Amino acid sequence: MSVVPRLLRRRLDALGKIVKDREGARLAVIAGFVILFGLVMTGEYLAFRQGLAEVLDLGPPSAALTLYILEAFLALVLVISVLSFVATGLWTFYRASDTAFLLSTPVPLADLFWLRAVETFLLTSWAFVLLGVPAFLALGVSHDGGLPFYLRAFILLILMMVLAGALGTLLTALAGAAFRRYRARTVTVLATVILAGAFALLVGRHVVPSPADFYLIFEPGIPNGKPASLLFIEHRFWFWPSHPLAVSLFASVRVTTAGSDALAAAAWVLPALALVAAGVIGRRLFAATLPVVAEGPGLAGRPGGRRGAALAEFPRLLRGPVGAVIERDLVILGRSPQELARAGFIVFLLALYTAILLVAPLAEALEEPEAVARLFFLDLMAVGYFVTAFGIRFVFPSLSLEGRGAWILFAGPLAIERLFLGKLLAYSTILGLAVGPIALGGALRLVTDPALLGAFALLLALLIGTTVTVSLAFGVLWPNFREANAERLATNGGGLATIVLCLGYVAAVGWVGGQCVRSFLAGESILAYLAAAVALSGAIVGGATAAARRRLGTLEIL
Amino acid sequence: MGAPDGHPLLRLDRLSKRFGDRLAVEALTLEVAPGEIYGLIGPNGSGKTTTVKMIAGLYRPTAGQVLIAGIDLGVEPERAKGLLGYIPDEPFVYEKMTGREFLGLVAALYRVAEPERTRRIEELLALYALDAAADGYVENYSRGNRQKLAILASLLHAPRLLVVDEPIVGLDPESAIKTRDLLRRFAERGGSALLCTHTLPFAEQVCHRVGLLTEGRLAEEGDLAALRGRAGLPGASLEALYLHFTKGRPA
Repeated sequence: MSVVPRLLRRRLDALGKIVKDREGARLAVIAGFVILFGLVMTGEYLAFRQGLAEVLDLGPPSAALTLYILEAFLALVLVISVLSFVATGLWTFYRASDTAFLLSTPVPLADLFWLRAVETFLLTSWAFVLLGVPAFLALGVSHDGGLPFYLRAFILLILMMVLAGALGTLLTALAGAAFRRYRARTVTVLATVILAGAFALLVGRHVVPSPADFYLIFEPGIPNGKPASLLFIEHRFWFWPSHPLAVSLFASVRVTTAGSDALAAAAWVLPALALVAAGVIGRRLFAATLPVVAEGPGLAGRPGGRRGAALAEFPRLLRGPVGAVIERDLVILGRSPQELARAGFIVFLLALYTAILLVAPLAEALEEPEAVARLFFLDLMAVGYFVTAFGIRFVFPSLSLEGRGAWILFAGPLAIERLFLGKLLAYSTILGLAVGPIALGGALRLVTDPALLGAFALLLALLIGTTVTVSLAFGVLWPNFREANAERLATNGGGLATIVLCLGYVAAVGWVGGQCVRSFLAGESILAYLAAAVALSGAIVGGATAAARRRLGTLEIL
Repeated sequence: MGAPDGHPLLRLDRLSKRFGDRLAVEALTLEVAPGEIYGLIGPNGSGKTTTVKMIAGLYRPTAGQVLIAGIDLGVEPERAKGLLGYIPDEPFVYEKMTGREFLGLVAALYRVAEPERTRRIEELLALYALDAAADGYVENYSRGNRQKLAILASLLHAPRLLVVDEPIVGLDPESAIKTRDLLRRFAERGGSALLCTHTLPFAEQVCHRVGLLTEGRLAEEGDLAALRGRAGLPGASLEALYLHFTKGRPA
């Protein structure tokens, strides 16, 4: 493994160099993202702390509810982490741009395997930092946990990360080996759909409590010295790999009778076993798969012989120069497994959130107007977050990603302003089709009145249109034709500005949504609120479009 | 293919480009007549590619004009670019498209309608015998095949002016000869080309006139005979003339 740290260090050197060289602009962008994530984590911490405090106020049933929350939370984080790992891992393990170079060096395949595992883990471990740290801190503060708790929680978080990374590595290697003869996009789509389907089933059946579950959770009986409610929850989650960790965490703040010695040991043994399995089975599978992939045709995705005349024709669906460029975008997206996986993952997270919203026992809460208004606000915020995530990852970099091929468009007789409008329409339509039905399905769980559903649909349309416009326009204002990596593009100064503006706008639209519900349920008109949302969106869209048009007039292709 | 109203197909009028403090091209004036191939040569950093990118509309001139068949590129960019075919120095094309799809996209950009589009694509692919490779993704093309694809793409809409930056880099000898003949035929039919290259024997074979660019300025210009006369080197090759004129100048 001696090569792995050295290769990883080289990747980290770039970041160190920025700090060392005090590159003001880039440091400011990094500081901006740190502040942004800090704010998000602070918000999560406050929400978790408030929720846990309210659970504590319930008295005796609070112990079982806390355990259920921990079990469900850790199971969800595990699902998101493993799925994210596999979706990214299929690319980094088998299709990374430096694989051919590294294969030509004396770096052993075993080292390459560990390098890819660590790289993928670093790319996909955000869920632990973004979700895990605030939750664990909130748990400790709400339960007056001392230093021993925080030490234990820290160790459990590390064990959880090891478990998720090892399971992700193993599943990535298995998926790669199983699908090595298939085309790259087929592999990604198949692996993602299978995993997402399996996880969604598991999450739907086990993580979200049904009304019947609540009766059992509030069950006061204590057979054999352990509350029946805890026994029920432990039984419900026993096969989740996160279960021993959840119980250990719970035992450190609440009921020490939770779990057992075997379960406490499993919290250590399971991650270790997963790591060994990844190291032995995963490494062998990787070593057998990578040479096949590197030669193609498998995951390498090299098309074979001639295509039919109809398939060779281009453009097939859209007409005119702008239509042809948009069809090119769609064709390239469809043929890029990494991009497909990213888009699919965002839609999966939205679908997962909506599924939880649909099955959550909200019947009682929805009888309270204020609760409906708050949930409506939170729902718009959640949908807006997913739309922003799509916008920053796919729409913002779309001009820069023309990259070294930008000459094809800019040297041609194409009015770039028309292309801007065409892309605006295309991305808005795609997002509307992908997000609209899922988001409306979720909204139906909260409100059924046509007026409120109409208000939600209008606010959703404004969210999508404005977010796409801002993302596209800011991409024009901060282009970088030399950078081919969409993630790096999305995390530059322009990306940060896009995220800040879009999330601020999403919060404003969410607030309008909540006010609409309050007014409507109080028998008042909601038109003034909707008009305000339209005016705000119009001002942002107008400003962003005007700035982008001015920039397009002076844009140069390096 | 001749230019209407007696306009040269390309006219650069006191064209300048400044990058920060550095003047990359300074008051460059030249004309390319219908049926003429003009070679722009010069050391690295002399402003050749900057000039070509300004003509292709990728850079905006700091001062001066680019006129294509009398149409001001700065005033009517779409109309002017419609007459132009551009071959860049790095033939980057979309990796996840097939060659045939890429040509279809370029044809759509230039509004070449069916059935002319398919006819032109097939005709051009046959020029370099690229038919078989045309249905594979560009990511698997060699440098030479990418270059051929870029050359074919520039010819799809039957342009009147070709602007070419390093036309034969990466091409095998047979393809280089085909490219030479292609350019000659293009000029014989009344088209014009501005060719920017370091491959001086190639420039000597195809160019009617040559301009030597140094430090952003046109140092010498003329046909081979005129350049030989000015250098006092009768019978000298373009390579010898280049070395003569650039001797003592900063590289």
